[in-house]
Amino acid sequence: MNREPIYDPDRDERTLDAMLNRADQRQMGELVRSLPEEEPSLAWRSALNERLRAAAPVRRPRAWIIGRLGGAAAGLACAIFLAWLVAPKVQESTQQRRQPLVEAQSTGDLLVAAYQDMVTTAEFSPAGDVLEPTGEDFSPSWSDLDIGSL
Amino acid sequence: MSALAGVTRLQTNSRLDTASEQALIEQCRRRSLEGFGKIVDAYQGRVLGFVRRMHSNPEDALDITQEVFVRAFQGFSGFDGRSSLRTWLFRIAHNLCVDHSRRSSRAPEMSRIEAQNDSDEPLEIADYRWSPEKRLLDAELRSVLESGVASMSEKLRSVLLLHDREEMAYEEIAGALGIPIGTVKSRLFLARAHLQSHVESYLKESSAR
Repeated sequence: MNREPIYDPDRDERTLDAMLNRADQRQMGELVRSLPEEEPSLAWRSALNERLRAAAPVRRPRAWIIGRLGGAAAGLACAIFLAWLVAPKVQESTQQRRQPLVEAQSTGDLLVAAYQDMVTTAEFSPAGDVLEPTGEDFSPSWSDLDIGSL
Repeated sequence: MSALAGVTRLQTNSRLDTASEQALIEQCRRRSLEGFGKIVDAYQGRVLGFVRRMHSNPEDALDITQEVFVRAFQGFSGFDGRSSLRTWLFRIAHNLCVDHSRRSSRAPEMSRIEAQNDSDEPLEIADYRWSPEKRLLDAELRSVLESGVASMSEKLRSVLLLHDREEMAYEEIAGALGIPIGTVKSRLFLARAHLQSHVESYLKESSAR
């Protein structure tokens, strides 16, 4: 029996094409082509589907996304509303704390002004008029002043 | 094969046309399970057939085939379209088979092919055994072919199956396996010669009975 090698690595591609086109080679190709296809089972396919689902990215339903966004928006709106409600009262209380100081300043100014008036009147009173203490305590006339407001 | 016996089979869909496949590819890039499911329908039988013949253990073949599709689904964003979808899928399948074989300590072997005779005439195969037009084989011849395919090295087997079973072009196979076209042709020739030797032995034995 001849035991000569079939394959010679020095042969070029054209030679290979000719060899592959031989009748016996093409017959083997046809035989292989005739081998039946494999058919996977339903169980196999179900298992594959499970694996693919596990590998798929998680997609949140649109309603879930809208719900989350809506909740966040509602929370923000409430926070803004509460801030709006509270802010004026804070301003009012701030103003109330400031008012007595303003009034006090006005009353003090009035007292000073009244005293100065009194001094001025005494200085510019006509000659002969001597303002002498009458024995009563000299005190400015407080009648124009609202002593009670002090 | 026992894992598949007695269980309802899925009918593999007909092959996708180019336009349909392109539309599905776009869906799959957006990680559409529905779109990818249709690709699985079109390729599951062919990939399983390839993997089952590359890896004789039927249980492992089923697991590997599932892994092919899971990897494809996860890595679809990396499919740039330079090769066909078929080439890409079978590249994944081939790589997984090789990895699995290495882990199983089944190193690929290159067997020297020796011709039984110098004739390039086709073998005489009785009509009842094989109808080339209908692509029908009788059970015994089919078994001989399957054992012949299983007995050759992994390198020869992959080229034989991709070219003669999947009808992939030399360039496609070269792209899928990462080898030169000349190497594809050499391996194909050797694989067919190996198979011929195997079948011829069977035919001689059966005619001698």
